[in-house]
Amino acid sequence: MCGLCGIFGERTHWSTQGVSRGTSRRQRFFRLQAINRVLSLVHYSIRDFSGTDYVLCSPTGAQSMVREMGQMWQDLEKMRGRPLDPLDEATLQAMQGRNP
Amino acid sequence: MRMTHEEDAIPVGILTGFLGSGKTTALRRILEAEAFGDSAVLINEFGEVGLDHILVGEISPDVVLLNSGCLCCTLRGELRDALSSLLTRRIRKEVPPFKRVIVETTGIAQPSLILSTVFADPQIRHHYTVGDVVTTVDAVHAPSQSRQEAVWLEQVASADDLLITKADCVGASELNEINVLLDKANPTARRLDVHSNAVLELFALRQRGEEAERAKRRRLTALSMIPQQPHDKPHYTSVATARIVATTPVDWESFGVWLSMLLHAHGHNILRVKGLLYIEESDGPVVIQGVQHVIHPPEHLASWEGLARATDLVFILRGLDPDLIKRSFEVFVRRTDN
Repeated sequence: MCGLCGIFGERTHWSTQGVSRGTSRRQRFFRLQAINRVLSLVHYSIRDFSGTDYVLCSPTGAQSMVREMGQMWQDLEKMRGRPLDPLDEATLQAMQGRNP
Repeated sequence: MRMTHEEDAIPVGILTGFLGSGKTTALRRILEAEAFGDSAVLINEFGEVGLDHILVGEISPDVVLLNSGCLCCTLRGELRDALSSLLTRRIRKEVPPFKRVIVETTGIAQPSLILSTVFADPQIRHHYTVGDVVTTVDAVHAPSQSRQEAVWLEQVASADDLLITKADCVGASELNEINVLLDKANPTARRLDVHSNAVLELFALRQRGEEAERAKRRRLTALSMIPQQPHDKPHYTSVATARIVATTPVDWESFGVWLSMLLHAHGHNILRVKGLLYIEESDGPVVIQGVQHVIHPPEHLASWEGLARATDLVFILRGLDPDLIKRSFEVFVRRTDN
């Protein structure tokens, strides 16, 4: 558990073991920002739940509780019916449009 | 001084290679060396009658034969149980205090699925760490196997070390052809002849402190030998290498989102990813390694000493366009450079 913010350890996903930018809560904030930048391409979003889980939300209001990023991509695929593909031309162009 | 999990955990090395490529012969040669006296061995054979464990058992008494069936498809639970049981027996002093485990897979196993067992299980992950993947390459049959067997490519691409067997049965031109083949399939792996003494350095135990840093650096400098733009067309068109080099720091969170999304969508065809990341908040590079859907826990080096301060990643791809991977990295990850 993080002694500063009281968050129990997250389920280990390799992406949570990169670099430390302060407390677990602060780290999760940056992670959520990065995930939401990408999810917003398909009008989905994700938010923190109790500092240990995440809630993935569809544009129609469907929700799914996910524990880590690997599970999030799986649930997103189930909810959308197809994966979010970073090699897809339309996805690349949409992302590029946000980074002039 | 308290040791980290990385230093404390027992490495699980994987010896793989296509059917008949000389895995058991190589294992016998390795285990005969004095330095390997403290190894436990798990053997997975495909077929009703296990033979390999008898051959190896003459040398190393701590051999466990996993039941018939392929480790990567049906026996992952059994691998977990075998690793767990080894640990219990070690604590009870029923077996000597082994320092490493070597798993010899079947000739048709996908190493990525075995790696995921070690990473995914909370109990196993706590006591063991993933060691090197060593793949035997049959010099006589490699050209035909590379064309006909998809799993051959997955085994070769996932290797840290490639062990060339039966090289004495082919001529210089055939050996050259195999080297060209391996240049495409896995340019980052070290290549050794099974008869060379360097074989005894395989499955090396985790080094500690500065020694470990130096060893990692030696392996990573090999990345700079790979051309960013390959000079010739791949020997077989479906396999290609993408090398991404970026001299400005990248944002770890954006990288994590991008790579996990990429692997979810295309992991089956990303045979290997290996390299280092230049992250602003980190004093040294972060080492990234993965096989298909499985990414090893990132390793942090203390400094950039002896390495160029840049992100340098190599992807071995099957049927994917290397330029598209590079463009996707630019769009999703490097956007935060400014």
